[in-house]
Amino acid sequence: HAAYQREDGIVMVDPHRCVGCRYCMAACPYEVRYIHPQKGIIDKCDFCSHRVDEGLQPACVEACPTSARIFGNLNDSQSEVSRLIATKAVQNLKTDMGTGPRVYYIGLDQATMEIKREVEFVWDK
Amino acid sequence: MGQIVYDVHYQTTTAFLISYYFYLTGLSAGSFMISTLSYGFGFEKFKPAGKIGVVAAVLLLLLAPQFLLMQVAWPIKSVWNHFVYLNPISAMTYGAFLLMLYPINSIIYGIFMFKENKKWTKFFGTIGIPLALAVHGYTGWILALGVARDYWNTGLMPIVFLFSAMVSGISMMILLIMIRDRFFTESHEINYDLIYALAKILGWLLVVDLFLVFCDYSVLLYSKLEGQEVAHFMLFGRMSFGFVVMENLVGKIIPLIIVMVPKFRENNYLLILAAIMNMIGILAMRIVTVYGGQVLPLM
Repeated sequence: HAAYQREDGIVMVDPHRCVGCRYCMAACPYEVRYIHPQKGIIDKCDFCSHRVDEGLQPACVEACPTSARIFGNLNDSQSEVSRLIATKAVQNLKTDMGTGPRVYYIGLDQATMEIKREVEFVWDK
Repeated sequence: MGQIVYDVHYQTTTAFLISYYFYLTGLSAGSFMISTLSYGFGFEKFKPAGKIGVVAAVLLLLLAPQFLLMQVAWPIKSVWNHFVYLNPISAMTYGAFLLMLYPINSIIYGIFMFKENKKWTKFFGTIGIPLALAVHGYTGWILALGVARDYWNTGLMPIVFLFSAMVSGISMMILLIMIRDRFFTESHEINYDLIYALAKILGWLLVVDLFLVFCDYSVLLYSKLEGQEVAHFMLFGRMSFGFVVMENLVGKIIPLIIVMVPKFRENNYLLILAAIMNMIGILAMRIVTVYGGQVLPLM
């Protein structure tokens, strides 16, 4: 029961419950989980939940020099994220895995990803 | 996914400890099944394999979870949290309780066997059979539930694991019974009736095991892109030595030929070689499945 979802939708790992068995790392379809080198428990991006709780933006959003990342409330139709999702061509990753992702990518088309994969895929050679 | 979109490499879990844990659980389940052939199912021929089988099963299953605890970053917390934060819909909860129940049942079964109490031996042996199937079937099942990994995510996985458990368990029993009969009995005579009967069972289980691998791979090769890639990776890529040579040639095909041809089977050295090769091959199978199944980057 170490992984849970907060009421605002952020998926978290409970440090008291996680024992670091690493199974969720192998099972994650996005390969985003990692083991914390000092704490020995699973960690993942939690949208800087400590900052969000204080009403701040996640650090990557604030630091991004070209404002490529937008963070906000999807339930609020007036927020910038909602407006962008409504007006731009957006895509989620791996919706077929049933994870209900709430990270949207603007202009990420299938062709872009497939070209990248052909370049990166060297395991077979 | 991480590698493709963000150029970040996926951190592979420490797969070797898990492989050893799966391997030892398999050996334990396999030797338990052999011990129940006489005490549970009543095949008198296999009676001399009963006690040695249950001793091996208990010792191996006390050893197996130690590898699991070494793999887990917080071993004591991992046992404790299973009770404190019990999650009835987690597959791993059931695995943990099976790992506790199965050795306890095996010990009770063994005690009654050594006390020559037929009725209760049969009772606990009969309970032990589904437990042994479950405790090892679980290891395949937990991999099958790793939905993101196409190599694991097949209903065949627990069945493949059960058959490889039984073949490696029988190989180990053949070796153990030979050693016991040769060095630890007064007559120093090996019970060849029993050894050849075990070898024949080993042969047919190997046939089923190879058939299951064929089913698994033929479906993977025709499945979606990620499945095809992982099948290519196993057959021709970096894993091909482990999968093709060690697991299937050394571990299954050569032992199959030895145990199926009477002339080879009756040569003691070849039979010992077949049993050792099969045990090495199944260890390779565990490593190939656990490590190879998760090392490819996802799309």
